[in-house]
Amino acid sequence: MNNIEEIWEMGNEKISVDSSFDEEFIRNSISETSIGITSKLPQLIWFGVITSLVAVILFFYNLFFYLNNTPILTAIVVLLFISLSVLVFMLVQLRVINNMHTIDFDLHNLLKYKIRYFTTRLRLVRHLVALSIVFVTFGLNLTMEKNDGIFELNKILTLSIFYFFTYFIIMYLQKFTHDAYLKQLRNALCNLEENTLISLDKELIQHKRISKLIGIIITIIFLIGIIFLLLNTTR
Amino acid sequence: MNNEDIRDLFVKEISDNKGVIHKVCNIYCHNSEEKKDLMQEITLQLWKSFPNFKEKSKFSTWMYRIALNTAVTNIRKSKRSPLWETLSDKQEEVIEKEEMPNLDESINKLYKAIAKLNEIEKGIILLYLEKKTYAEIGEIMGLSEKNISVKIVRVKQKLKVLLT
Repeated sequence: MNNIEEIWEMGNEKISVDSSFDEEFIRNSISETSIGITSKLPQLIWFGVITSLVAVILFFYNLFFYLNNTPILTAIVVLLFISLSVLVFMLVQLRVINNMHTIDFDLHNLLKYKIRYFTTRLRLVRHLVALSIVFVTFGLNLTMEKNDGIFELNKILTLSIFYFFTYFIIMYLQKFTHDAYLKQLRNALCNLEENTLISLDKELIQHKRISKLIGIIITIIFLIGIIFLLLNTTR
Repeated sequence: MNNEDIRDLFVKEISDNKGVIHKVCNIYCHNSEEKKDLMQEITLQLWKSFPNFKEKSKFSTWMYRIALNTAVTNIRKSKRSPLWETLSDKQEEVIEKEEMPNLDESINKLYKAIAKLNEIEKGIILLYLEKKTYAEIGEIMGLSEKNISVKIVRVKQKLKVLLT
């Protein structure tokens, strides 16, 4: 039997390059419409951009209907500011993620960079996407329930539970999708590093702790705010 | 050079070296649909990285680097999704590669054996078989030459077992 090098050479001579891979295919692949929509990650960020934009529009729209309702107006201004910040953050992440491959990395460094991104900033993106959806829901609620600037709610507990569930279901769905990809990256890194376990460096562990703490604080403040708001506006 | 000239230059360079993309797609994909998706994704990533290409390395080496980075780290969009992969991590459960028509049995057998390697081993053996030097493979993979030489020996042994 021939050795693998000889068989490979024979294969190279016999396998013709796919005829569909021509100049037209190359030009279509690099057309403006292809950029940014080919991978699934930007789709998540795009989703975050759209939901935060919708939240901004809804809060801005509602601003004028609740001018005489100070607690609601304060909440709308705060939420509008947060939604705008989320929108800017999502746009920055869209740029980062689209340019990830253009950084001059070898495979080892790219894997480490992507794993780091997934376990730090993308985790924050997931929280913000879930938060944006809750914001949109709240914004829609404000729009539908407005009654001469009075926000009337009778089932506070039901609504709070609904917000909670929305947040955690969105978080879980994103986590479920991304963890599989993260595992794919970690497996590749393990194989590259001779199947040794990946040791998370101190910086990464610290970043994870801080992100977790910030996430918990934001969630608590958000929930206290919502409950306080609902208690104060219920007639 | 204006944008259109850069685009034309890129198309010409890629057309001249399209064998690189073709070979990477051949060993990382199991069917023509997957192959087309990956070819498109690699071409797009090459285009995005084109302004950063420095002539300190060969164009084909740079192409291999981007193509392998894309093939290994991108989310699979077809049936062979990451979720599917995590559900069946065992090497034995790898999808059978589509046979390439008009090829000797030994060549098809080699391609099938390579399909059973993990993503990193596939990249290393491809570069080795394409006669890249250990230094070039190390540059693409981000490993030392010594590490590469050890890995090549192991992958070759694994391939021999798979071929027998």
